[in-house]
Amino acid sequence: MRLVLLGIMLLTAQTAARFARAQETTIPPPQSSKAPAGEGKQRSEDETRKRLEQLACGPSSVHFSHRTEKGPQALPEQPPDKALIYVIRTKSLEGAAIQARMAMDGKWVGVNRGANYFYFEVDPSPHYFCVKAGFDAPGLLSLVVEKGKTYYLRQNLTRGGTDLDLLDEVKGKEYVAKYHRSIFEAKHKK
Amino acid sequence: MLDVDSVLYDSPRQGDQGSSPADSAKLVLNDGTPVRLKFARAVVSSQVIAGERVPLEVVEPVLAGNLVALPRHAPAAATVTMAQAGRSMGRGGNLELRIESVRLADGELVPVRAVKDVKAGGGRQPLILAGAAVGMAYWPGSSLGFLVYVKGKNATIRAGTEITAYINGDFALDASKFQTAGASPQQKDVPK
Repeated sequence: MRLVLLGIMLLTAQTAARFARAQETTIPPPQSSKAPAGEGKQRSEDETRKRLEQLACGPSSVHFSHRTEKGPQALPEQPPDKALIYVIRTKSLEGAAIQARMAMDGKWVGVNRGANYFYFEVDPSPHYFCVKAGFDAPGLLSLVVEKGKTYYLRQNLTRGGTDLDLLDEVKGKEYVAKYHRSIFEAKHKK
Repeated sequence: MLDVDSVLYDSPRQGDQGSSPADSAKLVLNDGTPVRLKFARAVVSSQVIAGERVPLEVVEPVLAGNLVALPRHAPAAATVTMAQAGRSMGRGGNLELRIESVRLADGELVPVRAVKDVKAGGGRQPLILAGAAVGMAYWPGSSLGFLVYVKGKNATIRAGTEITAYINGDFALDASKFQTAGASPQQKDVPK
């Protein structure tokens, strides 16, 4: 009798495991990743993400040395014919030990640790941004920037992944005022 | 407001062009003339990249006198100015589109704005699009057109969603380049 009960339990456990595996492999892609029917050719979510990653992120061979400038910080003047972009990483325990790299249009442009920022100027046009920290999938954002404007991008490392957020001016200025500038140097690994 | 039920959608009729008294007068497409547009396909923030153009089309013809300045189904476009897919921890995506101009029947581009009157200051106003958190940002008197923005998980504007833009400034039209609003009966709109 005990042997029969043991057999039944074993069989049940195996069936449950098989069912769980089957569930993992047969989940259909999310509905939103399909092009809407009858509306012509439209890229899927996956295709768009891959394309944007190619446009935005830099090569994996580039790394950065980094330090924080804690002295008095002079901020740049807004150039009239270009856009000014601040990249801010807010203070957080999440991924505190790792660098958050930032790339634009396929080139790494800088790196932050917690409570850091850096800035750079860009020509007005569409630009593609990528933030990468550790082994997480990169956070991506595409934006048409306009001359004479300042943009504040936040590298946001969460338990769920890495995001790149566009902050409003008030919030952006607030962070820049209380954080320290990141100083970095690119190193190419062979 | 235009009486669209009485408007006919015609194919070119050589004899009509430039022959009526209205045609010979100076024709103007007036500032504030509404242009109803609709999105020709769905726009999803996770499926577009900034800088791309998404198609719109004119819903109702726009008349200047008895000439069709903008025919129904005329193509228009919005430019994606920001696109962000849904983020981690369930945070939504963002989508912003700019509509700057519409193309007249003669091929000329005319700028549009988001509101009929320009007396008030710039700002934002809610729109009801696809039941999502959607709004519109505008700058009166500016040639920058206006932004349509959507937030939410993979922010989406459904195909067929309509929006009204307004002609920004008075535009003199060359009557010889436009068709009259008269056509064969089978091309009439069905009365509502």
